[in-house]
Amino acid sequence: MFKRKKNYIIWSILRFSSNLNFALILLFTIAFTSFLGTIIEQNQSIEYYKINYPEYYIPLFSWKTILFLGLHKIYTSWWYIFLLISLGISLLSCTFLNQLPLLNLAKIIKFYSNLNTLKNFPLIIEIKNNISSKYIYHFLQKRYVILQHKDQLYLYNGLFSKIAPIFVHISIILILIGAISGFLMGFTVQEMVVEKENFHLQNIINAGPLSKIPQNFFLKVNKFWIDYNNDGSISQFFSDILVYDNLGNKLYDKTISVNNPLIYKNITFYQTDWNLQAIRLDINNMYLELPLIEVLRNNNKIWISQIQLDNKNFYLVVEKLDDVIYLYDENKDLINRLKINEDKKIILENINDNITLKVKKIIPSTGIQIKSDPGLPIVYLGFFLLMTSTVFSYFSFNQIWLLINNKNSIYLTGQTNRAKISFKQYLLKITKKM
Amino acid sequence: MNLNNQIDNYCSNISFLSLFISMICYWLIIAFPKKTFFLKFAHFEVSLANILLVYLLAYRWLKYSYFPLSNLYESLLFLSWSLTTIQLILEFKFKHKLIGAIASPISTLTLAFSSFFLPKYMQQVSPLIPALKSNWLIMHVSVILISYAMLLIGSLLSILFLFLSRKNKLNYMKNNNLTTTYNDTLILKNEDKLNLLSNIDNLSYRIIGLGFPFLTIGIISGAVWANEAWGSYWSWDPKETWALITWIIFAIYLHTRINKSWQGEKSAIVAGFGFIVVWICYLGVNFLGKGLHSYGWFL
Repeated sequence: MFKRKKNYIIWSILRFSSNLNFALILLFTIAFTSFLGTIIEQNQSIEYYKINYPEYYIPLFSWKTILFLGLHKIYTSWWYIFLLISLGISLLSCTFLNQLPLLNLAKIIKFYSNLNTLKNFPLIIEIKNNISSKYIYHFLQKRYVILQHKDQLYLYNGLFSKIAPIFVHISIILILIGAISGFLMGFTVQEMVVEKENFHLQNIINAGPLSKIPQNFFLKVNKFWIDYNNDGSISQFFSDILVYDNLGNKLYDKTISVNNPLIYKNITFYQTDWNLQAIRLDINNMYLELPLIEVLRNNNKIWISQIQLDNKNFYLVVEKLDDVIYLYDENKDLINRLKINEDKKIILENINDNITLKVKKIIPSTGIQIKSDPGLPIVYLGFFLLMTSTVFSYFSFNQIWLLINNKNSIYLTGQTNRAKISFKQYLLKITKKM
Repeated sequence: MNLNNQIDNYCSNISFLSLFISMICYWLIIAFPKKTFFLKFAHFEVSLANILLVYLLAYRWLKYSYFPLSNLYESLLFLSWSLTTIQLILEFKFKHKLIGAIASPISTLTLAFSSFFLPKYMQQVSPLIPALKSNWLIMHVSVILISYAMLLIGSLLSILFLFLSRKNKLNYMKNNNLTTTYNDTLILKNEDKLNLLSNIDNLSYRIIGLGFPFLTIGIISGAVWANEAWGSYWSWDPKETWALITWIIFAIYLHTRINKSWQGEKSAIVAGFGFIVVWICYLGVNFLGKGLHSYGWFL
């Protein structure tokens, strides 16, 4: 008795979720909450919301409402995920409770035996002095399925366009499943690595509860370089990456760039960012490595380093990798321009000795994004199915009935579910043509 | 260099002028249905604008060796081209004057916005940044823009439908020719319930129904590109989120057509809402200036 009641509850929930109006309201709610996420900045600190949404500005709405309702992280909040899961359930129940029965209905073969039964169709054409086989041949060319019962014919085509919407639902469900698997079992790691250094997967940005981050290999950034355009903007930046096992044996080697990642054991390494770390100088045959500090100037990044010679400060400014390095004195006046490995005797005012200053190298660092997503194959399958099934859903399911009268005339009528105008034009055109 | 800029300018000015003239012609033909000259002239003008836009885009492609879709100006040109192309195809197929009357204003306005209101620096050609150096650029952006064009025309037709059904005056029923004979065929019954309103309704449904798969393909190709380039197929970027919202709104529209009682006004309201959503998704997000898509913004 209890089990029957539980079944009834589950069954009525499923039946309710397959209701079209519920599904449309659910879709609209998802659209609306996603829209909220575009006008309220997501994933910021509490202070940000306190400053931008102070109390008493809009009645009943302030940073407190935002934090309480979870509007600062909508796309990962429990209620948003609940909406998506409800959408999945609604799609699934709609497929089984609505789409499949309708498909079975559409497959039913129906013949009409006389003119009276055709009277509900909006278009009826009577064709005199013609042979039905001419029409049958024409429809065969158009890939119609032709069924005959005595002197009545039923023709249809485009049944695949009734099957396609089922696959649309299935593909969306696959995408949701794939996304959830990726969320549970995937991880994201970011590493900012100086050239020539080794790194392990350790700076974890995101890791799902069921994820496992392998530590049985490490990587080395062998070289990093940038290609520039003629106008000085960046064309592409490259990192040469080597993969080693924990004993130091080289396993794999690839040069990556943006849009060109390295894939090793289902983990993908993307080139995303870069920075300049230090500048190596040779001063009077002494090597010195100075850190470079990044500074924003007119929307451009430049790097500055400071060196003290004879108690006076000098500044080295770097704008691009492997380019001219500018040398400034304390008063921010430009003293000289240096190129890498160029031997230059610098004569500096107020300095007692002669200084040979040579820039040996600018040392860059590269930003690598490392990602693993086990749900990706499922998501890609869902994507592919969704693309093809939405295309196939565009076509219409056409049905035509031919009634061969023994008085040397044929009655033709038809109906379609989608392309009403062009189908009617088509029927009128072929009867005129024959 | 100056001559090239001049050619660019001449092309875009002439195509704007052609579209503007065609718009006037379409309105004239609605007012004076008998003067078929206006219709032919309008077709000519739209075709001329279309060819000039092809020339403009092809010129930029050949000269700077990347497909001309890297900034807002080029995407607006491409959108104008798609709008005129789809308008010509539809007119050829359905021979309905109202299609041109609706589509030509929007193409004119889009071209006008891109040529006259965008600041000159945004119209310049600049080298592609590393993130755009991919074959996915052509596929993703062009498919999305073509889908925008189709969805815009379809939703405009729905707005026209709402407007006409409110007025309820324009109701020209075709003659119920019960005994037309073409050779040996006799139309026994031609219940032309397909009067003007119903025609527009069905037409807008079909156009949106075609734009929707294109939008799907466009969004998915963008997601796959993002995954291949940066490791994440969906990062809740404003542009991505708004594309999803657009997709959802038009999915709602297509589903309202299933229910017979919802057909007509209610679904047309959804499509009309979709018109605004497409514009926000395409232009509004760029001008908010954040996220992966802020390539052509000024704030």
